[in-house]
Formats: sequence, structure tokens, C-alpha cells
Amino acid sequence: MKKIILLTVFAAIGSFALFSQTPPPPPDNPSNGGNGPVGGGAPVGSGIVILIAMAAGYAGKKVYNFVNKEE
Amino acid sequence: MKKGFIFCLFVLLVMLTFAQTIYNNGARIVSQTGTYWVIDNGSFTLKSESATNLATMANLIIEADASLTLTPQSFLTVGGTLTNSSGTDGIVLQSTASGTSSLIHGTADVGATINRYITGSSSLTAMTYHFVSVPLAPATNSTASLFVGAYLYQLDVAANSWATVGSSLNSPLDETKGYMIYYPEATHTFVFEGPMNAGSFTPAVVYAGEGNNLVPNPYPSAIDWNASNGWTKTNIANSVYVWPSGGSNYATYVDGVSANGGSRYITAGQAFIVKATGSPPVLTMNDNVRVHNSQAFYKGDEWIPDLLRITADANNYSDEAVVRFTENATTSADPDFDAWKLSGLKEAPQLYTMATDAEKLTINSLPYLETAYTVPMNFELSVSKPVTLTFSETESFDPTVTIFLEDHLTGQTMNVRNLPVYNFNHNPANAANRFTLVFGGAISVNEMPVEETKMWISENTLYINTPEFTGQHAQLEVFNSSGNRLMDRPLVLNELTTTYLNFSGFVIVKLTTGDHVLTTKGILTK
Repeated sequence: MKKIILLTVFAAIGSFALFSQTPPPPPDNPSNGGNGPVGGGAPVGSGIVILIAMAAGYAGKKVYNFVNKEE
Repeated sequence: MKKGFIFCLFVLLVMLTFAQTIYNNGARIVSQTGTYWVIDNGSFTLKSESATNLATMANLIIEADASLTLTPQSFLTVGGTLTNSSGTDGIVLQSTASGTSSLIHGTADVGATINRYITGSSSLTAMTYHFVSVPLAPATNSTASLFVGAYLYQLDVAANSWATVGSSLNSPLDETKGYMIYYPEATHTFVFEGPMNAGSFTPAVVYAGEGNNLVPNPYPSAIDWNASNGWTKTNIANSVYVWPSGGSNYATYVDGVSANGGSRYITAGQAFIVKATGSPPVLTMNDNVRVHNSQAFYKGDEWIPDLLRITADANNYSDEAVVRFTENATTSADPDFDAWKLSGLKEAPQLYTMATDAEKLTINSLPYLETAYTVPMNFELSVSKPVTLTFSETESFDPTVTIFLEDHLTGQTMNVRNLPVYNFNHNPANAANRFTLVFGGAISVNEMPVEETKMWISENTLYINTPEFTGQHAQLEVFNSSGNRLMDRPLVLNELTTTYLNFSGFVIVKLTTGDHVLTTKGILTK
């Protein structure tokens, strides 16, 4: 068992040395190590669309109320 | 009150309906020196119908409450003064999947809204990274919020590693540095509002670690790394590197030669890696390096003589290595002519040649020599897979030049000019240094004075070009790679002496006449 562990460690070190020329490629997965995107959580692109839609709806309601009130 | 509101709505609709567009549809917009384009009211859009229709304005004034929008693939050059009194809303540079607009101007700190479209992936292992810049003037106090939603990295020069900037919106960003992002959706458009760069710009470059620095293209246009004017590169190597989104190996470019799709052009909003080779490193650029749109004008590499391109395909990935011959290069790593091998994905093939100083090179430039060249070529891959090596652009060499691949693992030798494809099965346990490229004959005789080309081998024929020794007696010896002498016989030299060598494999030829000794080596196929 110890031999297997030693072999595994040796192989891992060898593999690192094989590809250690710098700089390395970008990370295999940007979320490795608990890393998160700027702002945290999911990207806000679709959220902005929802926000704008809600704002437009709210503005429309305000206009409708305003016009009805005038009448 | 109601009537007033309806009137305002009507006016707004009219304004939107008649928002004006400047169509640059072939009759190029060119204004004479000293003239002014003035946008004093309303919103104008500049729309080029094709990338070749550039708009050139001597001077441009955008008054308060007016604006000019450049649609994607619209290109505007303002040769004189650019004045924008409408703040960042006054100039809008659009960017979509169809392209990115481009502005070349000479007035610094003009406000604008610069859009930057990028692709991403919901799969976090698709390697759709982008090297990006913050295309705003230094000291704009930019923060990571510009890249909200993206994984954001910087290149730690001393540690030679990618370091996350973190997820805080308030992390300060340095406009003189480049960054790397990964956006976890298919597409996204980032928006930068602030003063644009124009004129001289000095990226932050330090000499530490291996000297690799990620630097920005700071301008709202592409830049030309090969521009004849405008660059100051002190202790900076002549090679540049970018990560191709979704790729597996770095793309690189140096001295007219590219590998893995590298280019002399750095697009607007992009960053790139340069290598500092000494202290102090200085990199500055000015408006002379700016060009419109890399893709529209990029015609690929110019024809480069005496260049061999080797492509390794395996495991659905590929990598390229290039060996070329050029004056002033050396056999060691040349900062002016060579590009270092930067490691790609370990699941992707890693192909590179070795300089005499043991540096790993993706693009290896060598000097012309009259004798044969042997160039060690290494291959690495972390998985067992069939591999295909493809040799291309061999037609760039003189027909007398022979190019052989030696596989030390199998003992095979092949003439890649005749057989440009070599297949083998890779085992990760195999030594990386299993290949040698052997260039025989006179490498580019056109580039060398004839009198320097003394002796060479083409196919199985030995050529001895020694008109100055005509009539003299000489002794010809041929050795194999083990040092065993295969031939030892006298010759009487002519102006051009030829003799057939009835052997096969690698040989070293030695000719002695009086005090002169000539040697050459090559591969004989018999």
C-alpha cells in the first residue's frame, strides 16, 4: 500500500514537472478552490432583463394611473 | 396636464423615428484637413457597410446632448481633434457577435461608452477564457464591478501563476494591466464608461519570475505588435501570446511567424502576454501602433521562406511547433526571433523544439548554416492516444534541402518532404525527447554567398562545391552515427564534385584536402 502511495506521489510530482513551464494554462475550472464570479452567485445578465421588464411594467402602470386620474 | 404629457410623448417618438444615421456605404467619408464634423443636436449613428469603408474625419465635435454611435464593424479615424461635450453618452462604440466598432483618434481622455462582446460557456471546463483590458485611461479608479458575473484573474508575474481577483465588486483594477475572465454564460457584453486612451501608454511590466506579463491593449481600436513605429520594447522579447477562447494551447506570434493561430494584431479590448527578459523592462506604445480591426485586415502570415510547421493532433486537441531559418537568429533562444513554449492543457498534445540552451520553443528560428542541422523535437501528452504529426510548408525550402524526422523510440526515419504525415501511438511513460528533425543540404542557398556552400547531401548524392580546390587531391571519409567508418577513399576535386553514397541512415561526411577539412551530415535513404 505504501508503495502505491509513493508511486502516486511520484507520478503526481512527475506530471507537474512535465508541464511546469510558465505561465501555466488557465485553470481547468474557474470555480476550483471555491472561487466565485465577481459579485458572487449567478451572472446578472438575465437579472437585468427581468429588472428592466419589471421597471417598464411599473412605469406603464404609473402612466395608466396618471391618465385615468386626469380624466 | 394630460395634453402636455401626450405632446411630450409625441416629440419623443418623432425624435426616435428620425434619429439620424450616417451610412458609410462605399462612398468613403473623408473630410479635408482643417474641416470639422459637428454633431450639434440629436443622436447619430455611423454605419459602415463593409470593413473596408473607413470613415475619416479631420476633426469631430460632439456638442452637449448630441451623440455618435459606431455600429459593430464601423471604423472611424479622427485625425485631428475629437471634442465630446456629452460625456460618456456622447460616443458609443458598439460590439456584438458580428464584430466590434473601432475608433482611432489622437485626443486623450475623451469620454465614451465602450462595449465589449465576449463569448463564454455555462460549462466551466470549456476553457472559454479571454484576456481582456480595461480600455479606460489610467487612474479612472476602475473596479472589478466592470466584470460583474465573470470569474476574474490576473497573472502573478513573480509566481508565474494565475491568481483570482476574487468576487468582490470593489476590488480595484489597474488599467495598465491585463486581466483574464471566464463568463459562465454563452455570451455577454461588458460596458466601460469613462475617458478613452489616446497617445502614449505605458503598461505595467515587471521583471520577475519568468518575466511573463499580461498587458492590455488600452485603445478603442486594434494594435499592431509588428508596427514599424510606435513601440518601445526595452528588455522585452518580441513574442506575444494569447489564450484562444475554447482552445487548448496558447496562440503565439513572433517576427512574422505565428503558431496555433497567433497574430500580430491585438484586438480592441484584448490583453496579451509579453516576456520581460531583463531589468528594467520598458514597454510603451503610441497611436502609431493603432489599426482598425484585426480581422478585417489580417491576411494571415506573409509567405515566410525556409519555414517548417509541425502540427500534432491527438485526443481531439492540437498543438503546433515551427522551425524556421533566418538571418541573425542563433541556435539558442532568441528574444527577437523565437517564441517560448507556454504549456497548454495536459490533455492536449504539447509539441516543441529545443534550443541549444535547453529552452523550450514553439517558434524556433535558426541561422543559415552550410552543414546539416539536427533539431531536437519533444512531445508530451498525459494520456495514451494515437497521435498524428503533420509537416507543412516544406515547399518554402529550396528543393535541395532534405528534411527528415527521426523517431528514436521506434528507430524510424522518414523524409517529411515526401511523407508529410507521421502516425504513432503515444504512451505517457515515453520520454519527451523522442524526435529529432534533421535538415540536410544547403539551407536556403539563395540567402548564402555561393562560396560558403561547400558540401551537402541531397538524397544519396554528396555534392562538394569547391572551385578553389579544383585539381587538388582530397580524402573522403563517411561515418555512421556510431562513429564507424563506412568509406575512406581518395578524390580529385572538380569545381563541383558529386559522388553517390551507397548507404542508408544518418551519416557524417568528412573531406580533407591539404589543411582544409569540410564536414557535413545527413540522412541517406538508399
